[in-house]
Amino acid sequence: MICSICKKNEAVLHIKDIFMSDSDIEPEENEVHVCKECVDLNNIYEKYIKLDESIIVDDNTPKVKKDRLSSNVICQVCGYALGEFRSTNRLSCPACYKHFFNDTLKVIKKIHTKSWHVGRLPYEERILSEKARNKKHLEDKLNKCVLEENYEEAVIVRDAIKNLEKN
Amino acid sequence: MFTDDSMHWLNFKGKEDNIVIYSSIRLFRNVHDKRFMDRTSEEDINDIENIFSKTMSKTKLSNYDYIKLAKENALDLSILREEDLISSKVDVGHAGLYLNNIKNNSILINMKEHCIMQSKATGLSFDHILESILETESILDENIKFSFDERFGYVTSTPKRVGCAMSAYASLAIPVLAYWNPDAIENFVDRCEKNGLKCIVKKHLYKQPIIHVCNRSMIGQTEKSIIDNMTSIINGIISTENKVRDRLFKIQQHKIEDKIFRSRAILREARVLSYSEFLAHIIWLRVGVYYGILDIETELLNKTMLLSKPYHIALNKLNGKNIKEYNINYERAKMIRSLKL
Repeated sequence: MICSICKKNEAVLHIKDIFMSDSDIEPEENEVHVCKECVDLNNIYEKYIKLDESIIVDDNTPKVKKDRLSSNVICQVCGYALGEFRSTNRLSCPACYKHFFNDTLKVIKKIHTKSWHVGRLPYEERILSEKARNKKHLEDKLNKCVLEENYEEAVIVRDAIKNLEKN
Repeated sequence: MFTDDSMHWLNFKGKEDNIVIYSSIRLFRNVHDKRFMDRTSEEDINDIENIFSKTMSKTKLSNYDYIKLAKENALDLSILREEDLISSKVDVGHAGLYLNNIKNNSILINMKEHCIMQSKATGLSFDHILESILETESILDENIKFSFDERFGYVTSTPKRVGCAMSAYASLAIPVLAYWNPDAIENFVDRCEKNGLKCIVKKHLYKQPIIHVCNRSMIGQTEKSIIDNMTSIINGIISTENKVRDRLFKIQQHKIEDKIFRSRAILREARVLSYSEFLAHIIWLRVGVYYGILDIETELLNKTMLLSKPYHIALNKLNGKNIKEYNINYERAKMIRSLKL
């Protein structure tokens, strides 16, 4: 078949464009045959293929592209890929929870319905929180003593707070 | 090594032990700044092993025995699996097990997670177990830094176990409910689902009327609230089973008695007994104990349930030889006949 642009060479690319306007009952067909030289000269590939994607894939393209891009994210500490987490639901190191925060949060909410830890704290934090609680209790006591003008006891409580801070 | 000792945890009495066979709690922990078990290196595994052996030797937990699982033979591993001390599907290549003298507290390292603590007791004893397991955890926690995230709590290799990383489990025998009103069990399954728990019911409930209750949700609630939630649901199941037992004894006494004595007769006289058949009958003996018809201690029933498992029979009765299904079924029947239940 001869090229429909230069009308000289043998065509290598055959494009069949099918479209339907509102008034038509049957779809209209338009055939184009292009030779190799004209394909390169007129950027036929880019024109037609871009057009095609925009028609067929429509809204989904950006989502798919975004998904593919984000699955290339890796954990900065151990090099574990987000894509792998998505397929296996397993993580590689404690830092993965920070690097894949959104994904892990989604999975955790799905399994447990909640996502904030309220249970037991590690040893160090348990002691810290106990100290903070003691300090608050003493401060309340100090305020009460000052209000009652019981300055002797207030001095003792103040010293106790100082001691706690030193430790 | 593993059986016939009188100091086994199954010999102790628990609350509501006629229905609740046993309850257990597991805590999952990972060592700070180390990769999780699936992805960890040989070096890290050795490090973790050293960290634990140092800690165990210098603390109160120094009386725990250590078993390196890779060095054990296949029969001993199967015995540990039957005792529910190690999980059945995971490779034991690098794992080690610390076990106390009555075998109710164990610490499993380098398997699934870096450290899995487990505590068990007969009957519904969650409060007591929680206390004991948290005590063990505190001792380890003072010496080993576990990985912890402010938002997600204790982090593990899978998001299923994050949060307080605690899994509680109870196994319940409900033969009368399964016999008389199996639909009632579906209500409990629904209630469990709504409360973040899971109720596992086997397909042939009539043949093996045992259900298992465990917690699915581990984050967003404290350890105590999980336990309270589970205890209240399990108490509901227990009271329903007891009500049905009482009612049925009034209206169909002969049928119930027939069930109990028929089961006892089979256990006393059978020459070949498979484990599932044995289980179906021994659970009915519990009902006999409840009505006061039979005079058997529940602890003996619990222990027989463990000792009748295939590999326990193979170890105790066959000395690890001739492990064929027929031999085991024959030896099981012989052992149970000798108990004169």
